[in-house]
Amino acid sequence: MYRFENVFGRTLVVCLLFAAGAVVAGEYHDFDAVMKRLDTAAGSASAKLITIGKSADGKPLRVLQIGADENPAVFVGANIAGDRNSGTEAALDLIDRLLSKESEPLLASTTFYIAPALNPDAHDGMFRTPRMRGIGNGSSLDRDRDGLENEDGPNDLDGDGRITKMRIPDKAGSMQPDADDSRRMKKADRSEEERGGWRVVTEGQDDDGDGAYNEDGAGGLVPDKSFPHGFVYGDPEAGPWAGYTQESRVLMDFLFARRNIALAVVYGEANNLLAAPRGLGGGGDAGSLKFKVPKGIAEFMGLDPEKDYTLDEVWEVAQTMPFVQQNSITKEQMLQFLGAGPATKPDDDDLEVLAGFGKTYKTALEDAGLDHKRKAAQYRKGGLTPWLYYQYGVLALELDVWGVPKAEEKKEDGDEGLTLDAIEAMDAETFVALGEEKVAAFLVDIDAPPQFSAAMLIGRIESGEMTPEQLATMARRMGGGGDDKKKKGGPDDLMTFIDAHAPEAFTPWTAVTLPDGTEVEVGGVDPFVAIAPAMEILQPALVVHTDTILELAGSLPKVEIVEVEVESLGGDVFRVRATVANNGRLATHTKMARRARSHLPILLSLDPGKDASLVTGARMKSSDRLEGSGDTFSFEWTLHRQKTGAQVLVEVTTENAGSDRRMVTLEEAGS
Amino acid sequence: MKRFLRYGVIGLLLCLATLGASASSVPLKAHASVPDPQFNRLYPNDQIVTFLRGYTAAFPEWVKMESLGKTSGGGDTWLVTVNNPATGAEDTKPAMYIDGATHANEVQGTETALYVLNYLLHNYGELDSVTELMDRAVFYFVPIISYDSRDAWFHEPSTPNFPRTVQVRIDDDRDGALDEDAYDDLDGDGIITQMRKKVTLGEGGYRLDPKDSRLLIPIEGDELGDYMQLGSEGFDNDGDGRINEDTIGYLDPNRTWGYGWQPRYVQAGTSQYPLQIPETGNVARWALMHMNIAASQSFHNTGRMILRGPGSKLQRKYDRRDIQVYDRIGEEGEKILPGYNYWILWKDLYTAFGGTVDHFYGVQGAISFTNELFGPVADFDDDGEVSDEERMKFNDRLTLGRQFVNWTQVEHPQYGTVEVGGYRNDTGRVPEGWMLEEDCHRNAAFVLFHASHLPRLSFGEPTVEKLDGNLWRVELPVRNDRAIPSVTSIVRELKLHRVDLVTVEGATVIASGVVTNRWLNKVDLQEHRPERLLVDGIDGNSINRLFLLVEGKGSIKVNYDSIKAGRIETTIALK
Repeated sequence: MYRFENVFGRTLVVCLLFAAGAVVAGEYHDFDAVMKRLDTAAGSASAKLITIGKSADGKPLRVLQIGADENPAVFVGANIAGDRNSGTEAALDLIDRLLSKESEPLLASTTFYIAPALNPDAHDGMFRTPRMRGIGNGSSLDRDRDGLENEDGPNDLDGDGRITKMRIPDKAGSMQPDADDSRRMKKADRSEEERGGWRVVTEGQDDDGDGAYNEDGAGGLVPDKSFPHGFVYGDPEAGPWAGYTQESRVLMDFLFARRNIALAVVYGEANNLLAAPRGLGGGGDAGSLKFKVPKGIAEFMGLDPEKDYTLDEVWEVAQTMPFVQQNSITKEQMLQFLGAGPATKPDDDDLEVLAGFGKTYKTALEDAGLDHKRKAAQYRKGGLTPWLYYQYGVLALELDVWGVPKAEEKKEDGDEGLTLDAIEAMDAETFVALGEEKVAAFLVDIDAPPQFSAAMLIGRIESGEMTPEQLATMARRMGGGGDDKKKKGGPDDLMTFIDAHAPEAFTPWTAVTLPDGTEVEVGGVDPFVAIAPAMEILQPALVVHTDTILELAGSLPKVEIVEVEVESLGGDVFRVRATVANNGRLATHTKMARRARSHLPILLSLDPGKDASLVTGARMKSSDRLEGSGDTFSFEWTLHRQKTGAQVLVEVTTENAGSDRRMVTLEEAGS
Repeated sequence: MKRFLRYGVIGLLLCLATLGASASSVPLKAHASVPDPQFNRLYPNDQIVTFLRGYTAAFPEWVKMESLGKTSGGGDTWLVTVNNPATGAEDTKPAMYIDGATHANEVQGTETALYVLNYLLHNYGELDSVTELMDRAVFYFVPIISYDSRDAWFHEPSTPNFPRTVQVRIDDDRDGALDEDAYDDLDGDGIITQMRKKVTLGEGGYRLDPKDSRLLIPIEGDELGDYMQLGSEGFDNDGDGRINEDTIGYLDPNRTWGYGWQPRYVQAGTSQYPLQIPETGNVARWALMHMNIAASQSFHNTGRMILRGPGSKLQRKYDRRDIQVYDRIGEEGEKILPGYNYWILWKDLYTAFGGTVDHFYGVQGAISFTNELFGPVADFDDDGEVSDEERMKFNDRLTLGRQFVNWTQVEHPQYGTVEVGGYRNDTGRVPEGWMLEEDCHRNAAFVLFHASHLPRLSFGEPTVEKLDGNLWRVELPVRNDRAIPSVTSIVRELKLHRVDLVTVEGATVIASGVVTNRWLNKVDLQEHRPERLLVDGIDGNSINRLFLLVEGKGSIKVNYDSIKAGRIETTIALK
């Protein structure tokens, strides 16, 4: 590693000194401080600290369990991203609240598993000098596959104690200073005859002389890219296969051993309550694909191996075949055999559940004076959250806790653009009255696909085929935002925030000469300013998030036996009919969990005991899913009583929606 | 390019001639008696392991044996490495990986892998082609992947299809109980066969074959049946009205590998995440440290196939250049193995996510095959199908009744009196002893053909031109005279490891690159770091011409370091 005495000496040391360590990190918890907090929390009677494994650097991965082993549970995992320290703070805040008196009633029926720092090796980036964001664990990695490991990371060239940006004069470069705010670099707009002239990279020289800056720095495999749903092959940071990265693997092992978890919240970089999760793509999915039927099977079924069939076409033939009937082959099994592939997007009904929580969440943010219209990111391919939803099989959401608020826009008369929120609140008449011009402008604004024309949408809403609210939901689901897009020429969110709350977070552009003689300028914003604000700014967001989780935890599914009827059929023969209900707000299984068969169904069984026997039929009946708020299912058994006073046991079991049992006596009603 | 190819062929012939002359006279010297397994029988695991230990005792410098870890049921993942230490360390040579018995019931995969190992060790110094291969390549064997279940197949009641998977408990019928309703050996003969029951006329769907009462025939038209088929031997252990619905497993190791893995709702029988089980995880983690593996072969049964990936349509399409290599080896394989079809897994057979064949290609970057050994043998009338009568005829005439266990009456807890009988576990998918050896040998010959196409690098004649003072332009041809490239396309596409690396000692490298047309002076120069020239590999049967602009005196040493094709070096005089 080069030292830059010379260069450093020449730069404007004085103007930089005030910037060092500028964004207050003191109140955030570094990894050791998190561990101390957990140790303290573990002293509480209802808490238990579990070490589930170690990071690549050998640091402990810890989960605090609060509540009993067997109750339906909530998992809260924070900062597997590595640089989302605000998530860690939210998890610690939740721990405090759970260990306070107010949470005792909740903890009687609900358990929490809270992991505040799931990527220990990356966790301390904001506390180190230089401050630098990292998402990789401590393993060594040849990211650029040049045969050398971690040989070219960022360097703090201007000695301001943090890694910012470096701009390099380059005629071919596409970036240029923003005329509205010279602190910012923006992409040159060639249609406006702008010429660029700069390249912008992370601060640091080309340590290995390969022509690329900072392409292979410290930090190895990325845990939040290493889970099996949407795993990206060919990304060295994701590892050779899903689950290879140990932080991810031990977490999966821990969770698979706890099927009582019904809800998972990840404090990470996405916010699924501000922007609904989108599909991660990846091909496959039931029904939408056409297949070639493999030769052997095609001959067996009398189909043409060269022709493409839809799933339904193949199933139509298959279900008439004795082989399929005799072996009770299901359409799903056939789907597997033909290679239909995994789910590629969240189930619509599951999204509705999130949208419901989103409404409450946004209101809570608003009440706390926090912006709920700000930008919200999506989770990563191969990330923890999509795995929790698609494969582990629980309702899962990711929250980023805090983000830079949208800058206030000066409203100009008559030029007020439409927003999704505005449309959502409109009645059909108001929407139609907007007229084609305004709607068309809005469609352009949200990058709507070409098949959606203003006339068509107005027509459908006028005819009642669709409500404005449905249109807004659909637009959000397609990834249209409107809310996400910065209006041309408007104020920049981050710079506005910096001016108001963190002026020290900007390092002015300063000339630096690299060891190879290249003259560059170093400057830009603090790496954490947009995600980890000063604690007094973060604090209200922590409260909202803890409130949100506590409310979600009160919605867990709860399966109970609501009725057992005993009816005498005469001659010591009795019919027992049991009804179970889900009295929680959430369904027992998400739609995705049902498809993935990730959890056992609800099992309703009867044990006849020693004094009675089943006359006929099965002892057990199962149900794949009960909706929330009182959905029921029933089963009945016919029993022969061998002894007066015989008792039988009716039991319902679920993995993550509770269990219930009731002993009943086989006797005449009212006797 | 064509001209290069022609040079390549001449070079290859010269090479073979010289190697043949020099290496044949040095037989591998045994320090102890060399195991001599017979390939007309199946060996239980303990005997296989004894053979493996025997080879290490006989050839301690050449043959190493180690456990890559414990398996689910407490067995070992045994790895045997064969490397000639005199020609360099393991990681300086291309390697081939060979395994067997991933599916425990496909037992003879182990014997076939053992045959390759045994053949190599008995023929070094005897056969020039074997000697040449063993001098330049490393062979890795994991003859038993599903150690515990293969053990169970020999020593516990089993069928031709069971146990297939590893000894991990899975709740197949989703009733909350694990493995609570397995097969039951009702007649206590140590094998699980079939059950049938004589019932009231009209109650059954079958009747006895009037020509052979061992067989049932389905009723047709107005016929009435008096026999029922009840499936494999067993009863309803858990009282749920079903028989044998939750045996040990089902967790299929050949759906657990890392490339293209999908969860259980997409791929039945897989693990909760890739390589979760030690049977495959032990091998995959070890293999990651051995990226010199450029060829791989996995042995399964049955159906006579040479399979390559992709295992599913959802996977990335193979690059044309890799397909050419597959086709070259696979098509020749169809000749070496009469009756075998060279097939693409998802397209010609079925979709399977997470198989060995995909992993060794998509994670290791190796040219990878899975062979389905053996197949039907009793098609006496050559109509392409084996009828029940034909199979029975094979049993009677060729095996003198060994294969079929005659029906005997036993009491069944649910069905009352039933008959138990049928084909033994070592029939159908496994050849009789007198047929096993040929299948082993032909498959071994296919493996050695595949291995012979491991990349083989050599330098051609360099050209040295003085430009000025101490400035020299050096061009150095590097030739690969075998079919597998030194860097497969998939390695580049998925960035599986670094490509080939050229370094120079003894002079300063001013510029470096690869010559694309030496007559028109076209050179693809590397923009930065000329002293570490990264070359995208050398395709099969072709030449790359390195360009080096160096400043120095005397001579230079050029190192060509290929992860999959080994390392070679040469000294070039600057004059």
